[in-house]
Amino acid sequence: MKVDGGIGWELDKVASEAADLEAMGYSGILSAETSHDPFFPLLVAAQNTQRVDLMTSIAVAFARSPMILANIGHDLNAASGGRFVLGLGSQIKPHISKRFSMPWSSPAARMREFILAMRAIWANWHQGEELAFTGKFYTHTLMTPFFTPTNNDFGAPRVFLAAVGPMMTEVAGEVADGVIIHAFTTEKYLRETTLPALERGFAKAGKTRADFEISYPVFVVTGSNEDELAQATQAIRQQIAFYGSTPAYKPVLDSIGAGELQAELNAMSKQGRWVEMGELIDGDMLSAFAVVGEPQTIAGQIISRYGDIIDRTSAAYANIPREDRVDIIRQLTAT
Amino acid sequence: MKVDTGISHQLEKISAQVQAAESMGYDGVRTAEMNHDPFFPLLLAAEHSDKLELATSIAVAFARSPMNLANIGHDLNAYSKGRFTLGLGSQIKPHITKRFSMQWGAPAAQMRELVLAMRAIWANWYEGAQLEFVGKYYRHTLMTPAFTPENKEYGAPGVILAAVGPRMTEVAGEVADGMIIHPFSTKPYIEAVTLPAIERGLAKAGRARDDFEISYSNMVVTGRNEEEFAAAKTAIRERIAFYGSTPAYKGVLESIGVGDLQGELNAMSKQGRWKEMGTLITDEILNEFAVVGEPAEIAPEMLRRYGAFTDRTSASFPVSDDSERQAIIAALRAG
Repeated sequence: MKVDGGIGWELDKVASEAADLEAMGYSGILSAETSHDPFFPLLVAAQNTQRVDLMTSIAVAFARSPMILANIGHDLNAASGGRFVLGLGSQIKPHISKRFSMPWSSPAARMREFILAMRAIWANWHQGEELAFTGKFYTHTLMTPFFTPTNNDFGAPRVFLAAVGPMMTEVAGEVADGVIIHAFTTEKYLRETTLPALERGFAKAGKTRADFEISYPVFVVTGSNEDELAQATQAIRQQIAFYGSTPAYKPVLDSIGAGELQAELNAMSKQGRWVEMGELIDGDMLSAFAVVGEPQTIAGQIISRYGDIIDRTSAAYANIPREDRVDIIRQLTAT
Repeated sequence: MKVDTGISHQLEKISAQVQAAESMGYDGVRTAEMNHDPFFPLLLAAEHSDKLELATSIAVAFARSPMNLANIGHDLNAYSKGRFTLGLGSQIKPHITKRFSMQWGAPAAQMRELVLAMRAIWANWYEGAQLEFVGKYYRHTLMTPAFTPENKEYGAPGVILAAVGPRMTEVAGEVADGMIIHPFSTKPYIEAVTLPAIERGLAKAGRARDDFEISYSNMVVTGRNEEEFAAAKTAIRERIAFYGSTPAYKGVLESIGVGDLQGELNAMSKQGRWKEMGTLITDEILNEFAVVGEPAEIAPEMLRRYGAFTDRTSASFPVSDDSERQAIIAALRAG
């Protein structure tokens, strides 16, 4: 199993952060898009590492033109010697239309077209195919030699897609090289909803599971002593409650028979009762979402529960000593 | 007059290029947007220099959401400690709609709105002004703390616009911090069209000429010997002929009484007669577009002809000797 670790947005610190993650044994480095450009940290990371994958997790696809992302993807993949993975997510309608001033409609269909448009652009650049992409949402029919990259040694980056619902998951299976599963997921939901949707996507494209990577962060509750474990338990319960208040994630709660909790959490969130919300997540629910235990048990638990499903994880366990983290990474990457 | 030079998109060469630019005495480096992302080289240029000013010249504005540009501009300005300038251009309709799959409206009006949208976003981030930008082309009404950059020390970058026609030039005067005059310009055109349009724009915004930086990169024909001089002259004549074949630039040819040439050059360009087109550019026409002379004559003549209105230039000096080039740069900077 591959193990990914995140880097921050502070560009003057990214070089040492990235080199340190590589030295700790991580397989990949992730950059998120919140209040900064998500690609700059990965260019700096590319220059300060030799081995690790470099991945956005995620960049907001619909905030950009497929041509812009095709170009960024090409450049980062070339600069990293083929180590870049363009991880994309849809965001939600208000952010696309009111924050980015970009069009939003039927997200799964639009995302499918977005990725196919990038692939058409790359086929033009890298294989010399004519660019004649005319879709429902995107049109790319003009390309000249002047605007075509010439450093084609490493070609297109891999494209991963973040998905929760079955439609977006199926699109990932069909047109992406990997799926980024939301941390707010249960083993049951993974097996009963996610995997079948991916299989439908693979079938459409004539792909096999072996052509594809499944990335799943996995919530981890651990600590070096009782106090730390209790703190981590409380933090993850609140995080689960926060996600559980989102209407779109109700099917995940349904998977463990707790669907009615969504409305209750939603109502409490509007009153700002975050601490109380966490108290509604009992021990059984916590175990359904998170791997819980002492540091030396974590890797084994992740492998036994998810080892047959996932290819890479970005589980976080920042509260335990470095040597324990390195040990977890070593155990996970050995399988 | 400040002097800038271009850097390439070959990311592995940026470090050496910016060090060379600094030792040559340049004030700044600039990137163009052709077949690569125009921002990545400037990120590396920021990392490998301390004083150089950094600018895109230009990035394609309408290919991107104002929010993306606001974010990129913020990050590059913060990382370079206030040395970044976002240089934007409109491109032309087929490239925006058929290459980038983005919207194209009335370009001067759309550009004005795009710059104002970015300024509204920056005012929200830095001064806490409410984000309530509702325009004809762009709407930005949603921003939350999670998406607001934290590092506000250096604020917004400068914004400059590339403009040829009077309407875009007036928009630059009104909403930008400077403009880039197209190299295919003559002094009569700049005096009759460009400068009055800038003044109209400045007046609309109640600003003074001192608040505004004009960048003009006239063409230069020179050389250390007859051979270099002849090669430079042929290249510049062909370049003038190439631009002169463009219908949108007919007004520039008219400024020196040779408007009829545009139709002839356009017809020849469709037959691919590029070399022959260059021979139609007489010495009189050449002298209107280019400063022609011995290396030692170039800086004094540029200052004499353009010094009254040009704040910075990225003219290129076709001399094979670094000390000759350094002397031109030093003379321009002293003037």
